[in-house]
Amino acid sequence: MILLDYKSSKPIYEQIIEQIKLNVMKQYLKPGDAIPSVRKLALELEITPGTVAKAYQELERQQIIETIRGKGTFIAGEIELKPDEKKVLEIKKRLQTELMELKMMGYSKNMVVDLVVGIYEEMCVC
Amino acid sequence: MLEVKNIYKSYNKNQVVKDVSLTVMPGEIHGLIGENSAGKTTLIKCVTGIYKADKGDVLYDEKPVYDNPEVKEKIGYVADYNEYIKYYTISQMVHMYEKFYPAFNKEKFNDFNQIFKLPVDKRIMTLSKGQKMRLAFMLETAKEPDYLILDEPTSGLDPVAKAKFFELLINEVEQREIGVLISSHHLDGLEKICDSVTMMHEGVVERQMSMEDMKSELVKLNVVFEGGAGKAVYDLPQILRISNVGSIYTMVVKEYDESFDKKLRELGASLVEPVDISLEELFVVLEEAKED
Repeated sequence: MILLDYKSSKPIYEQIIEQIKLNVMKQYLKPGDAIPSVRKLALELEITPGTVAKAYQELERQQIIETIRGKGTFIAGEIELKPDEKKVLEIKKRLQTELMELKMMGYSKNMVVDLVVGIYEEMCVC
Repeated sequence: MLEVKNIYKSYNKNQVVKDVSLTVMPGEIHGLIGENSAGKTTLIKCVTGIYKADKGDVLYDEKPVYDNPEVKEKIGYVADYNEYIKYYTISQMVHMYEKFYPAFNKEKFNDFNQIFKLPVDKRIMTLSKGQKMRLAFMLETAKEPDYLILDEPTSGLDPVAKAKFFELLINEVEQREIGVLISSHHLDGLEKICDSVTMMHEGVVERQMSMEDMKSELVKLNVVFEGGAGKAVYDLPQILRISNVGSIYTMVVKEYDESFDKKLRELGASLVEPVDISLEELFVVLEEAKED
């Protein structure tokens, strides 16, 4: 379910968050699907349970997963998609830098749009 | 809660455990690490109530463990070296556990043995070290304790048995919320199951923290110095270990922060990238740093 890049400078817990979100977006994981417990995933990925717990806490805060005591952890029933203003601003800043590089390489507006649409379509079945 | 409060223990005049404290909460796995003769086994024998500590307390929900059979029943203990009645078969041993421990769950023992496959009709004296270890784990876990204390439980286990052991252990922790204190030299195993860790050295606690914090004590970096790293880099006091392949330098660094990052760049680094460090490497580097 999750493939980690141990050589990446991106923190492991962020990689877990990202990949679970991606699996949800691609609908490989659907509402109500059980996901491994913190300890099982830690054992499987060979990382500290604390790291998995940190990722799960964040996913729970974002209401992407829910833990039912005594039953396990599941993809949340209804995933509410509401953009976090602060986060959007952060992403905008990152995009600005990336777009600048594309522009320097001669990318036109249309080429950029095609690229972004391509990535978006790869990500979800919508 | 299992609480160890300021324990001291000496043999003759040899002080083996000095002022050690730790707590294990229900549902928590606490790792105990340290080089040989750091005092881990002695500490464990005090915690399980086999030894009486010279000073300090071991408390199970605020009740002393030593000389308290009622409490001891709720603590499972797998020793580094497990001796049972040699001439008994495994079945006879199971029967004895059933008589001694009212909570003993024979079904659980049998379930475990579906996985570990010990020959129940064989006498204990004919078992290998790994088989005895598995037997001890199965017996002590099937008595459904609230706490499990494991001294080097993975020694003598082959890789398949080790993987199964970890799986069974975390199932118990998750389903029954037992607390576990585990000592091991197999740090890669501990790393993926422990919530917190105590590092002992010469009888005292050297570090005690969550596994997450322990892992961030030292940072491993991949750094590129295109023209090679100069002496100034090697002289940086934060660097505990450094090696290179061409212009890519791998270093293990303490007290890593932004100013260190900046310093490296001032010294000519074109890329600084933190990578994951294993508990094993972290432990070795810390030990080496102490010797210098």
